[in-house]
Amino acid sequence: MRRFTYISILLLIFAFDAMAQNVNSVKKFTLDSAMIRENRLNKINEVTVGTRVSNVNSVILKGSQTKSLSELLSDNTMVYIKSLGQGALATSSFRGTSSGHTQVNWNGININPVMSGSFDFSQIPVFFADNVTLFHGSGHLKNGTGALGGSININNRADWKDSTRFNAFAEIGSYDTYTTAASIKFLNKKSLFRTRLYYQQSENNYRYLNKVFKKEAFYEYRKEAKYKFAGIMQEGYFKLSDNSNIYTNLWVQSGSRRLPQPIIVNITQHEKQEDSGLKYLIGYNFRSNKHDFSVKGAYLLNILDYDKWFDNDYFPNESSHNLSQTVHIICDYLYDYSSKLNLNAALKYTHDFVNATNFSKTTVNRNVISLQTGVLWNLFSHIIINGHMMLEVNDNRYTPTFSAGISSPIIKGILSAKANWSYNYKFPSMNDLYWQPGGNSALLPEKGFSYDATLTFIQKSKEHIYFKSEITGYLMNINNWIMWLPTMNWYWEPRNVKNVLSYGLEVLTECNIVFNSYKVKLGVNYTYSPSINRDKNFEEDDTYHKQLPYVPLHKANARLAVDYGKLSFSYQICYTGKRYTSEDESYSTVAYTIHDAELKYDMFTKKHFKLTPKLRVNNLFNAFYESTQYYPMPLRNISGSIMITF
Amino acid sequence: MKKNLLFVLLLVFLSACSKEALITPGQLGFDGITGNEIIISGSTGSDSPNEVILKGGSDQVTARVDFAAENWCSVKVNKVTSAQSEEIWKLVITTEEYTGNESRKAYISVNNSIDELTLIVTQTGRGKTVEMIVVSEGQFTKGTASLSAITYDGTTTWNIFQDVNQMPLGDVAQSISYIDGKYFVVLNNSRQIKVIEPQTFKLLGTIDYEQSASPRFMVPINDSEAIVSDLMRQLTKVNYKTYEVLEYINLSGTGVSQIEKMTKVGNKIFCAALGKGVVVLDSDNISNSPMRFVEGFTGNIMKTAKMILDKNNKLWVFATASGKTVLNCIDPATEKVVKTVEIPYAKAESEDYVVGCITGTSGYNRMDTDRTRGKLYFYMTMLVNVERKTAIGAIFTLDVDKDAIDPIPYRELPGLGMMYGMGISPDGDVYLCDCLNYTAQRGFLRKYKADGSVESKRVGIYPRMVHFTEYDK
Repeated sequence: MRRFTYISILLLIFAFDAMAQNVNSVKKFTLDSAMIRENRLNKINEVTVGTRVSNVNSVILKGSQTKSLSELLSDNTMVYIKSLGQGALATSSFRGTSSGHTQVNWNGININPVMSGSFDFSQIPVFFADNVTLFHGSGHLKNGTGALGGSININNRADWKDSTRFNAFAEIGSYDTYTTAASIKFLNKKSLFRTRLYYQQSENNYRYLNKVFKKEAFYEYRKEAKYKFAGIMQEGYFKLSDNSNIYTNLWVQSGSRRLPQPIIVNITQHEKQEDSGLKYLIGYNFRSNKHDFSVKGAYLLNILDYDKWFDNDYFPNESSHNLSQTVHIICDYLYDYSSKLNLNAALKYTHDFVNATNFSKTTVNRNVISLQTGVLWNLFSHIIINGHMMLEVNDNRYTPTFSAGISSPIIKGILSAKANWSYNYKFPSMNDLYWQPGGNSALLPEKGFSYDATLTFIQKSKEHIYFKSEITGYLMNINNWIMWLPTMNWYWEPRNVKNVLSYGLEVLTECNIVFNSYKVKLGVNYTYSPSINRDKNFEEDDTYHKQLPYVPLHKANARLAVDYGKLSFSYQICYTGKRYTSEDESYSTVAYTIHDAELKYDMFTKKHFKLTPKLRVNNLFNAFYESTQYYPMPLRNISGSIMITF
Repeated sequence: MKKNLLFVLLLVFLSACSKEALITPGQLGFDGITGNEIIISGSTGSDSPNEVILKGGSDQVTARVDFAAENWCSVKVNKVTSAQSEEIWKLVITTEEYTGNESRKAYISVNNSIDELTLIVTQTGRGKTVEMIVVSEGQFTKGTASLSAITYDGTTTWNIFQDVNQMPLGDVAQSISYIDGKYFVVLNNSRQIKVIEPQTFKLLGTIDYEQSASPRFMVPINDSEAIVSDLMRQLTKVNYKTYEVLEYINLSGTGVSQIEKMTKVGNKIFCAALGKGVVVLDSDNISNSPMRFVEGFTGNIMKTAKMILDKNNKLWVFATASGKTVLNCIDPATEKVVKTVEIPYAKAESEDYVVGCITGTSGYNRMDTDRTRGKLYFYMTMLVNVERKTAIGAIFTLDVDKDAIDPIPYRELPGLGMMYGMGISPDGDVYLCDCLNYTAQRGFLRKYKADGSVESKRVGIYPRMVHFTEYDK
């Protein structure tokens, strides 16, 4: 009976399939106490109370299996993705910060590149993610320092209840884009194995009108933009007992791509990059009434090979080979002191090893040890206070950080509020420290305080209508911002030159309506992100109080999805505002709006078997747009796919 | 007899009356101009007079310039006979060359016995004429290269190419050259040369590279061809009339891999070969002529080494050696260094290490000359505080007929952020391109005046070169 209640509660939770979901513990208090307690335990382990959290809707995630993480985030979240094109470098700006200030975690393991610190989202297929969660701002310290703008968390989950055993699809798209993937799952009462395979290739040779290079505009095809990518993931989950389990995950992928050039140059040289990566994770969890203990270890290997050659017989080619390895070990302990108080401690060790052609030393090692403690306190009936402290020693440099949050209902079940205050660091990357020439070992970490507050309004009028609106205001001061600048001898070196003020608003609105056989979901995201240089470096500094390059002041997306029986239709609009391309706002690139539409139909649904053809049109109105100036994105393109599930 | 006399008198009377009947007031006018005004360019001198034809005038015409303009404007009246045997009156108007910014007017009174007209002569000031062009590189791969136009009256249009043509200039503008009545702007990372109309800055065409290149500077070698220097072991021959690349000349095996600035003297091209010295090519046989090194060259050639042809037709090159700067004077005829002027740097703790001494130069050295070509101007660093060992930039000079530099700095350059280019105007004014701290923001063109004041104008991102239009010939 208790199990039935437990399952019913679970089903109740997942019936509200929202685009972005606030996992604020306050909401959970309306449910069964056992679930509340489990969520509280999970909560302190996951994110500081008061931090804004958003999940990418599972329906959207499943519908984006052929896309990369860069497209998923750009179209459906408040994160701005600066892209050089489909399959090309795609980096993030989260709350007006730089790409190096976005931390990317995979199952709780930081996977940001050790050398550059900036994550390339074009290299992660959505197919390998079961859940994508965004922690906004720097309040979540659990994964270490560095997430000044926020973190993007890619998670895999053992879904013991999902009876799907096999899933495969094939897609053909414009510009010779082919994608195929499959996953197979085996499970019994004690173990679950899942294997995923993925492959994509594209010539990426879309046609566009070049108006910037010659006296007369002319049509041309995108060159130097083709790519291919393959990956495999093997997961294993083992229930040792009712209270303990072991899991393991091996993820290997390899990609090869040409690096496109801006359309203001004659293409007379060529660049190719090959990225190979291996990620291995193993972990153990134990839970009892009052104790929750987990330990996990991970090994990450990244290899990057770069080649450049010229249309010129007598100029030598260039190449570089870079290899990095990282080992993470994390121990985490949670003690449920009482129904009102939880205590947590975590010890983490990371070892980085880099072998790079362009470093001042052939091999470079780095050790990072951190101790993190946390308290979750149910102060009054529904007011929760949460605090974290972390001490990190990064290659003999010691930094303390902290975060504190509070959440409380205002009108029970309708209106709630939360707030967060934190202090965080980001250490210089390996490239900043060791690049030859220019690496600067005297660099200071970037650091700063951040504050944010969120109001959430939920209204369930009648049985079939769900409405939610959430508004967050934030403010961040980031000091010692690192920029690469030339020295008097004209080689470049990184320096702490800027102090940035980033503030803004994030608004989420979603509405779900069920009537007759229709299910309608509408979701709208909007961000307002001023991010400015707040100090003058010298008297004539014209970057003072100017918006940082490639941080749009306004960004919005809206998605309408209509399900009618086996038929599903969705329409999406994404708006990206003007972005300045220079530090003093003297150059800019225009705003753009992109419309996408998708139609799919579940055919032959018998018992567990389902065949789903899908048709998608991207950039419906054939807009010429550039995420990065002079790197045009594809015009209207179409893809058709078929998926088999049983 | 009386009857004959009366008859003659009657004839004379009738003749006079008919003359009066033929000549009607208001018939005198100007032919071939609109209204009563002509506009003459301020650059037009007394060697290029203007003519205005008169119509309707048959008796003696006189013309006079108003008193206020007599010192710069004069007029003569000429009568010529046309091919149709008609008498034509002409005004021949001569003006002195004018370098003022504002336009000026002269009023010429034109009279015959009946009519009186006024011709207005407007001589345009050069105020709205572009005096100098600043070439700004822009950020690499960002397409933020620009041309800034500064007129004689000081008006600055910081991105004039973009404003006129509604398109970006390109990626990394390296240099601008005036050839065949047009500007050729070399865009290093675009691998392209843009051809631009002077004064209007309209795009006329492009010369596009189809082979890998890193083009830098351009010099004409004959009446249709030019050579473009390159950092990728080649020179490129182009046709500047048809905007075509004619030939890529491979430099592999010559010992020279990067050529920067070039100067043509007679039939020879003198090239700054980075890290190697000055090499000489024959302009009429670029592809096949052996590359000859100038003999006796002292010092190291840096990227910005600009060769100056002086009034004596000698070529000067700025080079650096250990602890000193060396100015090499080359005789183009013999291809040998005939004189060197050394500028040693004062060492700390030595007797020479005093305020005002020279302590070094910029990593990217700068040198230029003025209209007379009798003086060289170059950038050095000068000590201002012995205890703190602080130095500022300063411009020093060398009279080309002397063997030592003037020890007194020509201009001190306080407040200079990051020098990225230098130019000396025809009048000897010092202009520095300041890219501040090299963040991606617009830099300054700074004019350092003799009275110590500095006039600054914001130009493009990473300004690197100043071109003076007076030299456009």
